[in-house]
Amino acid sequence: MNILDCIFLSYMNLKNRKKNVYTTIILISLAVVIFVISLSYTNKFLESMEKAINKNISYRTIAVIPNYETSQEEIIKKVLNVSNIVKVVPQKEYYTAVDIENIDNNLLDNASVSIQGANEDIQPSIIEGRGFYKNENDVCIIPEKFYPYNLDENFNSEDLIDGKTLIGKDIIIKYYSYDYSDGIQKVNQAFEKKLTVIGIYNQDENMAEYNDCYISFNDMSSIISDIKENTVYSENTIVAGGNGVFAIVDEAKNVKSVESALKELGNDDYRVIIRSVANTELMESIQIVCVIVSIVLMFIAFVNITISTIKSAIERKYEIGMQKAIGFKNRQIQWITFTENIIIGSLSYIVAIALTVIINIILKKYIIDTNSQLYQIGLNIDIIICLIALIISLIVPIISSFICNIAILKKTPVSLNKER
Amino acid sequence: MIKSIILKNGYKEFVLKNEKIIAMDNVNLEFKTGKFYVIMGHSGSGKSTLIQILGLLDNLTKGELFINGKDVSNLTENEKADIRMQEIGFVFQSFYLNPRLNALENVMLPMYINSKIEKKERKEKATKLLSSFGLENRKKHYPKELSGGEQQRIAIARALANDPNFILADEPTGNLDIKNEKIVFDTLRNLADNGKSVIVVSHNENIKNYADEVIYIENGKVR
Repeated sequence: MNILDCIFLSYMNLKNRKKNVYTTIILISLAVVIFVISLSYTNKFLESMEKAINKNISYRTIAVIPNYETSQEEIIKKVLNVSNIVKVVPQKEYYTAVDIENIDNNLLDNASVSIQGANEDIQPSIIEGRGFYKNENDVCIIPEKFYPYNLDENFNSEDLIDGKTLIGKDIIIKYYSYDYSDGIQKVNQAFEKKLTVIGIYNQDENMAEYNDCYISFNDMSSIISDIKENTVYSENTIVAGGNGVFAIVDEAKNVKSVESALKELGNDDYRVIIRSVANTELMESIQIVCVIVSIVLMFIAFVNITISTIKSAIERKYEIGMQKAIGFKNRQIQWITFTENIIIGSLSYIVAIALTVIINIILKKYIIDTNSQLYQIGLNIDIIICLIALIISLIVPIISSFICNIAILKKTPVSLNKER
Repeated sequence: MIKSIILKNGYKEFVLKNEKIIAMDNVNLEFKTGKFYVIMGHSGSGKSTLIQILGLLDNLTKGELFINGKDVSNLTENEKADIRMQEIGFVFQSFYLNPRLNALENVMLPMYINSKIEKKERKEKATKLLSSFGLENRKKHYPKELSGGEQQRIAIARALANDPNFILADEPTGNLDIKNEKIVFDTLRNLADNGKSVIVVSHNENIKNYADEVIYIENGKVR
């Protein structure tokens, strides 16, 4: 019996039990679809979360503050040797905890903002407008949804304005240095800086707060210098050296390992502090639950398909006995069953993938969480998921059928006929 | 070469619920081509066991079996399958047709494993066989659409698909009426007249009229 005869006999067997075949294909496809969707959605969700965390520079920033007076250049040189660090920025250029007031035209009335240094290499993802050019100053990137008032005072989300409307417009930030000489805070000097809005970013995708704005490192440096040089301290105040640096890590997942490396590097000479830690506990919990659910679903799929295949083999004992009686060898019978399972498994796989793609299109087109693109529903189907799906739909039925047939083929044609 | 089936000192026992049952005891028989043999006996006498052993559907416990001079007693399963395919055509009481194949496909089935029959010859040969049994107009019908007599004739046609020398039938008319019984007996007689060795197990007394030799079995022994 050659391969074409084998295929033909398999086809004839399948053709004449269409109802059983369709039922088996549907069962296998559904099992595979459920499994693929659960695993793919988990993938997509985790990928979105990781991307969002990575986009927010503060989750990738580690402060290295010397405990003793030391040269900043020396710290920068040492820190740059640690792997996974993409940039090292002097402390005074990166971030300030100083309050800033924002005054502008009639759109932004006393809005409060926090500002952070950035440049063409390290900036949030721009969704409209543009990002920083090299060595560019007096420009800023603002969030997509901007709150025009003081954030602390009776925040009302309905007042949020569209950041797009500010692109190309100027905003003026007002900031102050203080006098602490009498033991109380008094304004010493007021400063203003005009910035042109060049682009907007999505604060949800970057896991940022409302009104987090980005200006160039140079502008940040000049603002901090203005404040610090004009701040008057009391006699007992010890001013920190400010020789620290901020190390920007390539990806949020590497932050912990870089932190350890930096701690080892400095011994006790430096304090190493992660600037912001993304709360990934929820993400990790979801990941564990999704993986467990996927494994359980995969196991259920295995069991269902195996039971279905074994049931089918048992129902065909009579046919197998007949084939043996007329001279078919065990090997030939196994080949016919194998070919049948290949056909059924392949069709099931194609149906399953097609269904998954259709479901994905429907999810993306018709069901979108408009509040947060971070959680936009969709599937991330990668090659590994496709391979696992192939194993479930093709190899499981083949193996279970083969094992079942071994037991059946040991019997004589006469006993198989009697068992009908 | 003389074509024959020879059984020497055939012995077969079963063990059921710790009880030993002797189905065949010291049986010596020879079956030649061109003759019609009938094996008769009461229910449980061992006649079905005998024909199943002759047809290599079951194994001897002791003894030897020769088909066309070759000792087949200790062959592997694959070798026995080859002999069943080439030399033996078996007809069962319950017809044992594949319910998922039509009449033509059932008759063609044994030809798929016979490399001596070309692919293009299969359909033509199967159609001729069905025609010889008056069933050409039923070739597209499935077993459930056919009468008992028609199904049994298809089973006989299938048994002849690979042109075997030996036709073995175990109670071929057990499920048939008198009219169809006669048709089947006439068919089997014709096969013997055409050079086949036809061995039939039956408790039907009418078959004696067709037989060249009648063998009586009682308690596993030839009487």
